[in-house]
Amino acid sequence: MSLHKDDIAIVRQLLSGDQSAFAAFYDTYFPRVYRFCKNRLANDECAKDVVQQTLTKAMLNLQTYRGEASLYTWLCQIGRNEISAWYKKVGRKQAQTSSFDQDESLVSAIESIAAGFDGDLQEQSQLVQIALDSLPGNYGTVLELKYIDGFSVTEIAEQLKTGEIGVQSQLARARKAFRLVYNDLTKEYQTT
Amino acid sequence: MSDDSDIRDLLQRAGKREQPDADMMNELRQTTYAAWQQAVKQNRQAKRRRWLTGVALAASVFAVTALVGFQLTRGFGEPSVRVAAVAYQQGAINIISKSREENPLTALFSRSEPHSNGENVSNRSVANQPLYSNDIISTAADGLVRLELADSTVLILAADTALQLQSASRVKLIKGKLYLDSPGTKASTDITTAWGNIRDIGTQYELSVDESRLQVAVREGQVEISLRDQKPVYAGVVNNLGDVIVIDRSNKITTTKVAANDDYWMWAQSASAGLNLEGLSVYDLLTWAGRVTGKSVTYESTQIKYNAQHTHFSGGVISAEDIELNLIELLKTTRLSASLNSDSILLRSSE
Repeated sequence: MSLHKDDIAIVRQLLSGDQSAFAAFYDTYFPRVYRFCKNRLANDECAKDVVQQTLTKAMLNLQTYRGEASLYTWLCQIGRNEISAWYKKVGRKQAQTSSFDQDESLVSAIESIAAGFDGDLQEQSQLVQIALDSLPGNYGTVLELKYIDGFSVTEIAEQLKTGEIGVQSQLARARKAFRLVYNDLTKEYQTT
Repeated sequence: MSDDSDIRDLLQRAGKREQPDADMMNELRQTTYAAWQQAVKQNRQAKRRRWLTGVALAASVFAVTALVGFQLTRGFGEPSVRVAAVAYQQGAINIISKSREENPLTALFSRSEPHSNGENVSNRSVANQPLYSNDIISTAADGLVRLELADSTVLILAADTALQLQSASRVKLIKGKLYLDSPGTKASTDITTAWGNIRDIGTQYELSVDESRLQVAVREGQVEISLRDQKPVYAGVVNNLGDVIVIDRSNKITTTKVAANDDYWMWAQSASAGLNLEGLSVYDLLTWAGRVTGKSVTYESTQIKYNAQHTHFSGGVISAEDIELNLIELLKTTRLSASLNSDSILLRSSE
C-alpha cells in the first residue's frame, strides 16, 4: 500500500501548530467535507452539525492519521460515522452501504451521491463534482478556474500566488488525476 | 475522454461545485480551531513524554542491578498511599518523593529518577501521574500545575510554590501560592502553613504564604483561618465580593475585597480543566462557565432555562482559556445565545 506522503506532511504541519497549515487545511477541506455530508443529509442545519462533529473529531484524532488513505478519504470516513450516528439519534435507518466497501475512496465518493437522480445529466454532473472533490490538494480548484471560469494560466497563477510554470504543471497533473478518478467513478457507478 | 476539450465540456456541464455559506464556514472555523489547538497541545505533551520515557528507560536499565542488590540487603518498606494526581502541568515542576526512599523498587517502576542528593526528583512531563502521601511537589519560576485530590478537590499551584501532600485531605503549603476549588459538598481540605491552618467550607479560594505574611482571598463559600494561639478568623463572600485577608508577622489583620469575576483569578483559570461536552446540556455548560469565570448565570425566562436543561451536545470539548469567546461560538450551534457582561452571563433565545 502506497502512503499519501503529501497528506502526511499536511498532518505533521498541523500537529506542529503551524497556523498557516490550519488555514490552508480548513479552506481546502471544509467545503469538500461539507458537500460530502450535505449530499447525504436532509438539510443545511443537519449538515452543519455533522460537519462540526466531523472536523472536531478529525482534529482531536489527527495523530492517528497514518496516510494509508488520502486525507479526504479519512475525513469522509469520520464524516460517514458521524452521519450514521446522526441517523441513529434521529431514529432513522442508516443509509445502505453499497457492495464496493473494499475501496474506501470510491465508497466515500459514490455514497455522497444524493438519493433520487432525475436524469443522466444530473448523475454525470454529480460524478464530475465528486471527482473534483476527490482529487488531491487544490487540483479541483485549478480545473474549475481553468475550464469553468475560463481564467488563463497567468490569471490562475496570480490568484493562487504561484508561478505560471507551477500552474501549468499542476494543470497537467490535475487533468491526469481527474481522468483516472472520473473513469473509475463512472465504472463503479454503472456497476451498482 | 481523450483530450482537454472533453474535460472542459464535462466541467462546464457540471458547473461549479456548491460553496458553503461563508458565515457558517467562519462559525465552524472557531470550533475546529479550538479542537486543533487541543490536538497540538496533546501532541507536544506526547512528544515530550516519549522522549523522557526513552531517557528514563535507559536510566532504569542502568539502575536496576544496583537497586535490586540494595533491596535485598534492606527489605521492602510499606507502600505509600496514593492521595492525588497531576492533572495539568505547564513549565517545570519537581516531585520529591521521600517515601520512595523506603522502597527503591517501587520508585524505579513508578516515576522518579534518582537525584544526586539522594531524593527522587522529576522535572519531566508528569500529567496523570499519581502522587503519594508525603510527596513534595514544587513549581519553578515558569511552573503551573493542577492537582486533583482523591475527593475531586482541585489544587492549582502557582509559580515558585512548594506543597507537601500529607494525606488525601491534608496538605502543607511550604511556600508560594495555591488556588483551591472544592466543588459540591466534599469534605474540607486542611492546609497547614507556617502561620497556622486554613480549612475550606465548600469553596474556591487562593492562599499564599511567605516569610512576611499570609494571604487568603475567597472567591466562593467560606474559609476558616486558625492561627497559632488565636481564635479562628472567617473569610467569605457577600454580594459576589470575596474577602482578601492579609495577616502580617505582628498578627495584624487587613481585609479588602475582590469580586468573584475579577481578573485577579485569571492565573488559576489558565490551568483549569476543559470540559468534555459529550452528553452535557447547555445548562451544565453554563454552570461550569459560571464557576470558572466567577460570573452569575441568569436565564431570560423559565422556558429558556428549561430549554437549556434539555438541549444537549453530542460531542466536542471547550477549553477554559478564552472561555467567553468559545461559549458564544458554541451556543451558535443551538437555538440559544448568551450575552456576557463583566458580572453575568445571560442566556436567551437566539430566534
